[in-house]
Amino acid sequence: MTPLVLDLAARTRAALGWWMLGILAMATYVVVAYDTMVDLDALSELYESYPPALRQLFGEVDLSTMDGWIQVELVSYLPLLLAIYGGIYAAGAVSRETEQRTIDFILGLPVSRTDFIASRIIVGLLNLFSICLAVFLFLVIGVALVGRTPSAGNYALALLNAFLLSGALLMAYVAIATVVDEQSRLTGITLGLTFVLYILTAAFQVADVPDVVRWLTPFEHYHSAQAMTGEGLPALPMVALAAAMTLAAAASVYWYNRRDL
Amino acid sequence: MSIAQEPPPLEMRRLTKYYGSHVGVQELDLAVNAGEVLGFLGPNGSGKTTTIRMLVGLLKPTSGEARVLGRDVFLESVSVRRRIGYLPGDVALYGERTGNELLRLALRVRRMSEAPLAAELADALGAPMDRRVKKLSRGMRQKVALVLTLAHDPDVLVLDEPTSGLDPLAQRALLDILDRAGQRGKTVFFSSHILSEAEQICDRVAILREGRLIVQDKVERLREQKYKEVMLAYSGPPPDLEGLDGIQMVWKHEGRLTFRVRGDIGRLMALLQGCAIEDLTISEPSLEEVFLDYYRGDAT
Repeated sequence: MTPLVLDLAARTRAALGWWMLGILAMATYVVVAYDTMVDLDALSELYESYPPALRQLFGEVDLSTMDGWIQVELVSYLPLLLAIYGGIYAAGAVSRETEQRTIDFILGLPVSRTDFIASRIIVGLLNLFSICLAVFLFLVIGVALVGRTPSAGNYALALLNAFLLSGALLMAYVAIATVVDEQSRLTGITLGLTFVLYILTAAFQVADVPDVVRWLTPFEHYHSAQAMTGEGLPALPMVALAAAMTLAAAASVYWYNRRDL
Repeated sequence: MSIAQEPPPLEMRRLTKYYGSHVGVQELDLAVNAGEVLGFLGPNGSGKTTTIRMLVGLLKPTSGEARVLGRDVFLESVSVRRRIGYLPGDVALYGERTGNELLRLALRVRRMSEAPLAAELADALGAPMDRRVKKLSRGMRQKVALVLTLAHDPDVLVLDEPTSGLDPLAQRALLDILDRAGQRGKTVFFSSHILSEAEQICDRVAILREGRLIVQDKVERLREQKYKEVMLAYSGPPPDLEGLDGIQMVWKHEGRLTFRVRGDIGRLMALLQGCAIEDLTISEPSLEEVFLDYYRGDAT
């Protein structure tokens, strides 16, 4: 499996670089812009007046603090960006191989289907981890450079949560990709799903829905605001995300091993 | 003491594939021996690619089984593919990679440090291994894919239309390579709808029609079993062929006859003894004519 991992990692490196560049550009803006805000207290008051559902989505934080600012302006929606990356990645790394028949070359070699899917999952997770790590390092260094004390532990926990959530979504998208052979169709499906799931999380903040339904909404398991305010991460949602990743990986392998290619 | 007989390197038993209610292939029974080159013939849509994709584990048989080197092609697919060279039809390779990079990837997967035949094959076929695949024409891509398929010197070759897209020189080079592979004891199974290439190198051919194997035999025997074409020039009265079974007149004009005859040629010769023959040519049909006969459904 290692040669497949190395090969795919090399082939996705350029795209990963562009994604990182974009996200780090946003992070730069967030870190640099904080000190240029004229009246942070007024901004914080404005934020307090936002509808509760929207505040829930961005996080119940004090916008006048650096960590609160970073949470609302970057960290709160980072999993949305990473999930979009995950959908595009799954379409390229799995569906495209079947659609363009490059799968015949790979599976003409002594590679099991399980190894093929595992290599796609591993590279996807490594890429997501790389983005999260880059954001973490950037925040720590960037905040220090603007003369403030970085809350490295808080950033690490928030980005760990972002990684687990986007990882679970990426693996779910890989599972869907094992049965959808067209790259463009899978991209459409995953982007649509991502946005619907994100909006549902906000909608469920105001709607009276059973807890079990909330639990089935992936973005419900994102608790970066808690992490960024030093309250740590709740264990159960993290376990749920890890379980979802395991389940998605098992489904991918199961479906891929049983289908015709 | 009895000696256990080695199973043929490539074997299909009642191999069947349905796509829903549509028949892909049905109850194929076929074996290819070591050192044998078998041409798997049939027009587009006859089930050649379906069969080949089952042999490498990409498609799951609906029923029946196929074994390569004694191993089930679906259940033990990885160990089968370790020992075979598979060339897909309509080859697709990663466009941003060069042939050499793809070869290194294939070798790493096969846990080999070098490919014993790569340089020789690339040279013989004229494969541009150092250029990005996306910059190559279809024929050039096919050459690169052939090097990737054959470089590790596999025991069994499973090739789906290997000459597709190749120029005549490369076609000739490839047929020589496959012929030599057979002579070195390799098992070669290749599909084609170009009969002349099968005729040149195959020990045996199997002909597929609408998913069913309609005949498998040595090329010479297939020719022998079919009609012979007779061209006769004579003076005087024409020979009376009425009493001869299996005659099919093709052309008749002023002292010249062209006809086809099946079965024992001796009876024809006896009948012609009383004729003033000026010229006589008896030729065997080409494999193409045999093939077309099977497809027209008038095979004997």
